[in-house]
Amino acid sequence: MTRPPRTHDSLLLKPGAIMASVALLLLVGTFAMVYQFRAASAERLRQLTAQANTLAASVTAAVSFDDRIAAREYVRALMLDPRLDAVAVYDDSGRLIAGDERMGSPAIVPVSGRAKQPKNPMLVEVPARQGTTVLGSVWVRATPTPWTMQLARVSGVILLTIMAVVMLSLLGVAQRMLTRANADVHQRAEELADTNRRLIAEMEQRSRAEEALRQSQKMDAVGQLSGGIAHDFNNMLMIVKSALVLLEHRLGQSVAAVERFADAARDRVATGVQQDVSEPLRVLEDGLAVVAEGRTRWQKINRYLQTASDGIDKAADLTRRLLAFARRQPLSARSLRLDDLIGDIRVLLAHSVGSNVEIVYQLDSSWHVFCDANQMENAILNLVINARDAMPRGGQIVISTADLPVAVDGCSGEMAVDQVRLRVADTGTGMSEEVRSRAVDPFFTTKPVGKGTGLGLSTILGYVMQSNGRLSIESELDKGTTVDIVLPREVRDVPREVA
Amino acid sequence: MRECTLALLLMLPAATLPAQPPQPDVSLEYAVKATYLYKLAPFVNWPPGTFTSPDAPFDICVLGRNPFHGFLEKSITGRSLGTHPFRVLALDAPAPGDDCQIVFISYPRAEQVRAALQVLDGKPVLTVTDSEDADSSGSIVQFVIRGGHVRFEIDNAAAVRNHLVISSKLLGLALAVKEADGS
Repeated sequence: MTRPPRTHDSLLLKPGAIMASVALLLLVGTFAMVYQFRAASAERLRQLTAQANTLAASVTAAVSFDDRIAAREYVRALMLDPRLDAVAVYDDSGRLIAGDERMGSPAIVPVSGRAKQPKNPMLVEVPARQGTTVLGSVWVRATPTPWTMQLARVSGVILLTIMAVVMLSLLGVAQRMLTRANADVHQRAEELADTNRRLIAEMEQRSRAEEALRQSQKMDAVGQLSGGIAHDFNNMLMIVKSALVLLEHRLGQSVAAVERFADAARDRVATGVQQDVSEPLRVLEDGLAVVAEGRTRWQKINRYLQTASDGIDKAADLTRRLLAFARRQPLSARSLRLDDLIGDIRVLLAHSVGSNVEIVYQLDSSWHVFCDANQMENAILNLVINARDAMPRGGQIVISTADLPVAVDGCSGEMAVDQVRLRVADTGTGMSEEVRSRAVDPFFTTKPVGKGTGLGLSTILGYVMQSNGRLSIESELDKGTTVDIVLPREVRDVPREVA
Repeated sequence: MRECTLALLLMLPAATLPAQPPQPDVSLEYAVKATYLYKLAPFVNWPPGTFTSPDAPFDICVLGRNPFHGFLEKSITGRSLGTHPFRVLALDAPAPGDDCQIVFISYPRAEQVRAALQVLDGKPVLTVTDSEDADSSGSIVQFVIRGGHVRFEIDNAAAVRNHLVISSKLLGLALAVKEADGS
């Protein structure tokens, strides 16, 4: 599942953008503050200049004619403005005509020394003009603005800037939290998707199990049906068989009587020839000819009987297989080691596969199992023959056994016992999934008509199930097939009954 | 009384001109008056057409004996009213052809002063007399000594007659102002 693209991140809400905005805001705020400071200062300077100009215009005559009293009155009138710190009037030669300053503040020094004065932006000098004639100069100095006043002046800008910065910061924090919450949601979505995947996997597993169950039920039904039929059919075959045996017996008895009669007749014919009894002899010779003909016919009948008997035997064998598949055949189970059993039939197996197929044995089992030896031999033979048929151009068959302790077997709890595994693997053509799923169906065969009964694997399955074992087939086209028969380990000494 | 005034006068410039050698009392008083003479100019408006050209000189004429001993010439050096540079002319008697803007009348005798004022009456001339003279009434500005300082009185009626407008600032500074009748 792909992660959906994250669309909620707009450029504005990136933390970097917020930081940049805050920096920009602070910068703009500082600029505004400086501008406001400057504007206020410029305004104050303008007022100061206007006041100085007013004084200069009023005081010209007093300066010209050295009327210090009048000049001082003008100066004192101006000093009524509490924002003024010092006021001074000089004549055109730089002599102080009148001056006043607040207590504690420095006096305005004479014009000649003004270059030495510390630079004070709130000190204004204007010429005292009458018409176009400069008669003197007027100096006005403003009281330094208290810092609280200056701060109050820019408090609006500061407040706005702080509020904007706080809001932006809150926005940033909110964004951070949102991102974190989103990450949580994503993680939960991932977990949910994971759970969903597991659920789907479980559902698939369950559907496979159900499929297997259906298959097993089908097998059961087929098995019961075929088992029932096979049972009755076997009984009928037995009737036919016994009738044939009786027929053969009776036929043999009558043939013996005829032979005895024929032997007596032949003696009589030989003696009769010496006594020259011609007429009855002719009858006897005719009788002998009939007997000879009867013997020939009997031989033919006997051959037919034999053929019929063979057919019945084969039919009986088939019914036995069906019964074995249907688990209705009584098994003569005993405790045995698979390795020993396989060792006994190695020659037989070698003969059945021919020369271009090699059989490799890997026999590593030491545990006993409880099963019918003949059926097991049949099963192994069947599997080997199937393997051989799957390798028309030759190949290798590996027959292996292994002990599976409980821990190694990862199967469900119901089978939590030690087990022994028999494996027959070939390097042949393999099976498609479709074929593999139907491989154990009765009468299903991939062999040409007449060559296979389609009962081989199903019989083996029936036998294995009857022996409390499991059969599994793994196969892949052109990679070969591996058939596993897993039987529970036999641990008890007392033989047990198998249904 | 006069000795006392002069003594006071002596003290003022002594503080500002310490390097100058001791001068007669009269010279110090007239040094102040010399500067006042040209400083009166910015506070007075002469009628249009007083100056024939933009750079025509502003003439300060001294009629009679010259009490300034060169102080007046010295004080106006390099100064001007607007574009009109100050010039000092010493005259024996008012002549019709002379276009003085300020006339300082310094005749020793009262009848000479009156005659001169009569000649200048109605002309755009700021007439200035010294209170030291016996009878100086009739001039527009009269210098007086008051409290050790050189002060002045103004006859605004005479100024009006002479078509002059005197700034209220100057009037405000005058010890006395004689207003025009009915004005």
